[in-house]
Amino acid sequence: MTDWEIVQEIISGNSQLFREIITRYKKAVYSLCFRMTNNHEEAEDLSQEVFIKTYHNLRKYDSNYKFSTWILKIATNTSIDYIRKKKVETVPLEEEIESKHESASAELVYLHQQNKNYIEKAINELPTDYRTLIILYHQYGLSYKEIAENTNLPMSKVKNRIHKGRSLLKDKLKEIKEEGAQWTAKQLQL
Amino acid sequence: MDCKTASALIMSYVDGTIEENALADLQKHMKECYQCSEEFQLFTEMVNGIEELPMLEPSNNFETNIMEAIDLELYTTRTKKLQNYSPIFISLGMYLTFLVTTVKPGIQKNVVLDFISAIQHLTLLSNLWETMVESSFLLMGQLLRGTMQSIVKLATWNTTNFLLAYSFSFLTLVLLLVLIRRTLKGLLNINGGDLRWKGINMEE
Repeated sequence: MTDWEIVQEIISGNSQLFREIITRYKKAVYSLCFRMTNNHEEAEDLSQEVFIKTYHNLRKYDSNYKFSTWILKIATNTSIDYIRKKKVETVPLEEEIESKHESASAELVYLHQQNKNYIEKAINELPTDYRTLIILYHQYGLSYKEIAENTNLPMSKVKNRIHKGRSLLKDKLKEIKEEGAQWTAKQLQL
Repeated sequence: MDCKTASALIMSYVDGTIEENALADLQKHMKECYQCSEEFQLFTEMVNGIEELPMLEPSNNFETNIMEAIDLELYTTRTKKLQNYSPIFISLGMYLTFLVTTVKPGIQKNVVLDFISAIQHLTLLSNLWETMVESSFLLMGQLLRGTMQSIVKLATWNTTNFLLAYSFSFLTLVLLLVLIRRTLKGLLNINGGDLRWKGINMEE
């Protein structure tokens, strides 16, 4: 059954079929929530909230859009609302970028020592607004138009932010590589 | 080509919107410019890394927790909602049948006759328009009086104990049917409400 057919069945009274929707999209929703929060428990709670909201709003689903895009929109908005409420990021975007750069070095060395996925960590370092767009575009494959509808932002702003986010990530990767080279050199000297 | 243009083209390349001619120009520029070449490598490495990020799995009880949290009756149709009252309708039907067919034939007859009388008067009232055309308001008053008398007869019939006893057993019957229905529903929910055959994976 297609997503649309399942939604129609649920609205007609077969609510048990919502389990199928959960099975199909739990990974995508949970992964997005985790990338936003970096915390498994928070991601799980947020994901459940996303599916509950989705269930209650099934009548509002417009079949002109992909169901995956629609549920990711709910996930994005729910995650962003949660982060803003938590007041994790209370500084303006530009100041935050600078402050993150200042404290980057120690963390970069830590990265190498712990042997973590540096790209994953670099993404986690991005401010929420940029991170959201980068993940939606590159990992979930949404178009600029879909992201604009997803986040209620003008398409030009989405494009600019994604480009800016990529530049930030690129600079971060460059730093990591340079730090890594220096760290390796130091190890060799020892 | 300058590096600023090259940077913009690298973005287009990452977006997948770069044209063939522009790509050729970019590649030519990157052969001569180490900085842009490095930028290109970093971007492609970064994008590939993001695309390859693993999709994470929530806990095992994820689906069950959500299904327990949502209201499964939210999208129940009107027909299905009426079905929820079916125990009451069934009980009422059984009781009416019981009242008409069982003991105390004398009282039964009076009940039936008075009931029929009330129905007859109500039927006549439903032809109000014809009544008004054919006769006067006086006739209407007589019909109304007749209807009320039949209804009053039914209400004041010597049935106080009868009504109390049978109301109690009627409610007991409804309660019993509701409990049976809920037990059956609960048994269905054990399997997540899914009545389809599920094969067992022997490897798990």
